[in-house]
Amino acid sequence: MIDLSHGEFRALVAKAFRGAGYSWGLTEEAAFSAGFLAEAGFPAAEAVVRLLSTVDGRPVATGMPDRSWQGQSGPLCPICVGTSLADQGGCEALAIGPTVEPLFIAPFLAVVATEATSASASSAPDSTVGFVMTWDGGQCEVGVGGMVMSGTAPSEPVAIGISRCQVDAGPQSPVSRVRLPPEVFAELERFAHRVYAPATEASRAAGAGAGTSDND
Amino acid sequence: MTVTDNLRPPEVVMRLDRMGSFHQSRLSFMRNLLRRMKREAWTFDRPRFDIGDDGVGTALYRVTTPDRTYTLVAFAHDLPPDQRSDRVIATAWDATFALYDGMPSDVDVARLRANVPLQEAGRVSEKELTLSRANRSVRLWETVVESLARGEQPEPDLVEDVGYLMRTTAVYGSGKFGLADRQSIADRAELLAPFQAEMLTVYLIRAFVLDLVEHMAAVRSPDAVVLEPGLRRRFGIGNSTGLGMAPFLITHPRLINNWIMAREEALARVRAVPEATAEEIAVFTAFVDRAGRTVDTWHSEHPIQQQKLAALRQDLDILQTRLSESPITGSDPWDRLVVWSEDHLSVEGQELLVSLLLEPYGHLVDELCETMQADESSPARINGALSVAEVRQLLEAQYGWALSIDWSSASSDARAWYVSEEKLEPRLGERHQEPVGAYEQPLQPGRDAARMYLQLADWSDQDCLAVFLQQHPEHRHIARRLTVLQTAPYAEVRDNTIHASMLPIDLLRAKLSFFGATHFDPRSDRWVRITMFQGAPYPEELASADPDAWTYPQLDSDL
Repeated sequence: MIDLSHGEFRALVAKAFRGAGYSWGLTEEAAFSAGFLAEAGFPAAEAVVRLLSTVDGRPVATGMPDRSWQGQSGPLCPICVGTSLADQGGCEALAIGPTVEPLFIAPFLAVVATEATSASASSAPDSTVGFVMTWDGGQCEVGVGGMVMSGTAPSEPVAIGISRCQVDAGPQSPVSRVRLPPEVFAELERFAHRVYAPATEASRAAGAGAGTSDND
Repeated sequence: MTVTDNLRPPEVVMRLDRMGSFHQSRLSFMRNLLRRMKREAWTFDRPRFDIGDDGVGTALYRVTTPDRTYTLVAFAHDLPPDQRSDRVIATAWDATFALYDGMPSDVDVARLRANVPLQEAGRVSEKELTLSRANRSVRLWETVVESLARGEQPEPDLVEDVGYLMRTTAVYGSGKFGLADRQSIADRAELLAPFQAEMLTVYLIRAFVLDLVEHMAAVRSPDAVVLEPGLRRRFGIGNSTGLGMAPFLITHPRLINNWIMAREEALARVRAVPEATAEEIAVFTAFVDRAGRTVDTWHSEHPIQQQKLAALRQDLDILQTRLSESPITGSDPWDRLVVWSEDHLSVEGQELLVSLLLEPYGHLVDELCETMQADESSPARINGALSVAEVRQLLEAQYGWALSIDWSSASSDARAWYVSEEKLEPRLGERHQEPVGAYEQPLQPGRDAARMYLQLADWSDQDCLAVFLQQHPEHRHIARRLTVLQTAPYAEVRDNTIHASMLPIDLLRAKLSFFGATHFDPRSDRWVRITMFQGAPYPEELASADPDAWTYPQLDSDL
C-alpha cells in the first residue's frame, strides 16, 4: 500500500481530474471532495478512479444536471451535482437523476451544513443543520461534524434523494494519511500525466532559468 | 488601534514592479522565528556529528522549545562537481536534510538515510516536517577551508561577495513527498505563522554548514582555526530559486492577501504615530545608514538588478540628504515622510523606506505576524446567488486593468506556464513558438477574467452566477477568485502574468522578502540567488543577542 499526505492526495486528484478534461475550477472542487472523503476514512482514491474511468472521453458538460436535476445523455457527475448544490446553498428536498459515485456529493453538503449551522448559531444554538442523502441500498447523513454512511455504497450510477434536516453526525477523527493500493495510485498518475508537457531539449534549456551545471 | 482605513490600495501595492522591490522587514518569517526563539529561550544541542575525513556522514541538530523538540537530520555527501545543479532535475547534492518532529531514533535515522539523499525520489513520513538539500559555493568553500587550515581568517570582502558557503535549492514542507501536512501542525503556537518550520530548518542548516567547514579545515591541518565570531555571522545560507516558487503567489490568494494586509497595516500604524520620540528617530536614522551599507555590499551581475541597485543607491542618497536637511520632527512625521517618498524615490526606495519605518516600532507591528497565516486547504465557496449584473460590476472593479488589455495582441499572452514531464519541473514557455499552450496551468487570472467578462456579454443582468457556471464551468476558478477578493482585497496580482516581458523574479522577490531574504541576485529573469540569516546570531549566541539587530550591517564594524 502507498501512504500519501493529504496535500499529495489532493494535488494528485486535481491533476487526474484535469487530465480527464475537467476545468481548473472543477478540479479544485473535485480535489476538495475526494480529500474530504479520504479524511473521513472512505476509500476515496478507488472512487476517483472509478468515476474518471466512467466519464473519461465524455464532455464534462454531459455530467452537469439540468434544471430538473437530471442528466440529458447519461449519468450525472457528482462533482457537477455537488458544485451546483453548493452554489445555490443546498436545498430543502431534491430528487436527483442517476449519478456516478454519488458519495462525492456529500462533502459539498457538509460545507453548506457548516455554513448554515454557524449562520443560525446565535438564534438557534443547538441546531445542527445537515442533509440526508439516500439511494437504493443506503444513505449518508452529513452534518457539521462529518458524514456517516449506512447500507452499501452504490457500485452503479444511482438516483439519489437529498433533504435538509437536523443531523448529529458527531465529531470524527480524521485519518492522517491516505492509503491506496499501488495499482490505484498508478491509475491516478496515468490520468494526471496528461497534464504534463512532453520534455524537449529546447524547453529544458530555456524554460526554467538556470543552466545544467551550478559550480560558482 | 485599527487604521485599516488608511491602507495603501491594492491597485498601488499589488503591481509586479512594486512587489519585485519588496525588502525584508520586522514581519519577515525568519525574524518572527528568531524573536520567538529568544523570547521562549529555546535551547540547542548537537547530539551527533559523525562526519568523516572525506566530509561524508550524518549530524543531528536538536532544538528544544518549552513544549516540543525538533531535530535537523543532516547528511553530508561527496558530490562530483559535474553533478552539481540547482535545478529541480538534479539528482544529487552536497548535503541533504530533514526536520524531524521530535528526537529521531537510530531506526528513524537509518530510514531517513535511505530516503533523504534521494529527495523527491525517496519517501519521508509524517514524522518529518521539511525536506531540503543544499549545494556548496565551490569558490568560497575551498577558500574558507584553505584559509582556516592555514590558521588564518578568510578575506572579509570575499565572504561578503558570496555571502554563503552553501545554498539550499529547495525546502519542502506541507505534505510534499510524504511530509506532515500543514493542517496537522498548524495548531502549534510556534508553527502558526507562515513557514516557521522551513525557517527553522534553514537556521539549523546554517549551524551545520559552519560546523562542517570548520571540521574540513581541521581535517586538513592540525593547526586549523575556527572562524572569528563576527566573520562567522557574515555567512548566511544561500538559496537558489526559480520558477517552482513563482506560481505560489497566484495559487495562494488568501495567504498572500494576509501577508500584504499585515505589512500595509503595519505601515499604516507607523504612519499614524502622532509624534516620534528621540529614541525612535535615532533607531530609524541608524537603520537608514545601515541600509546604505547593505546597498554598498549588494552586488549583482544581472542588468535588471544593477539598474535597481543604482536607483536604490540614489534613493538612499536622496533620503539621507532629506533627513539631514529636514530632521524628523513635528506631528505625523512618518506619514509626511512616506508622502514625500512617493514623489522623490523610485519604487525600490519607497519599499525600502516601508521596511525601515517598521524597525523602531516592534511594539506596534510585531503582533501582526500572528495574522499572516491562512487556510488554503479548501477552495473558497462561490456565491452562486450573485446576479450576472453584480458579477460584471465585480469584474470591472477588481479586474478592470485586465479588461482593458488587448488580449489579441501576441505580446499579451506570449507566455505559458506549464509543468514539464521531466521531473515535473515548472517552466515558462513561449506560447506562440512552442507547443505548450495546451498544457497551461491556471496562472493568468487577468486573461481569464477578461474571458469570463466576454462570455457574460451573452447573458442578461438578472441571470444568476450558479446557472452561468453550470453552462460555463471553465470560468469557475475565476468566479472563485472574484469571491475571494470580496474579503481579501490584496489577493490578486494586478498585472498580466503571461505578458511577453513579465519578470517572474518579481514574484520570487515578493515571496522571498516575506521569508526575510536579503541580497537578491537574479541570474536571469526567472532565477534568483538570495541569502538567508546573514548576520543572524547562531544558536549559542541567541541568549545574549538582539533578535532584530542583525539584518543590516552594523555601523561600527568593518563588515
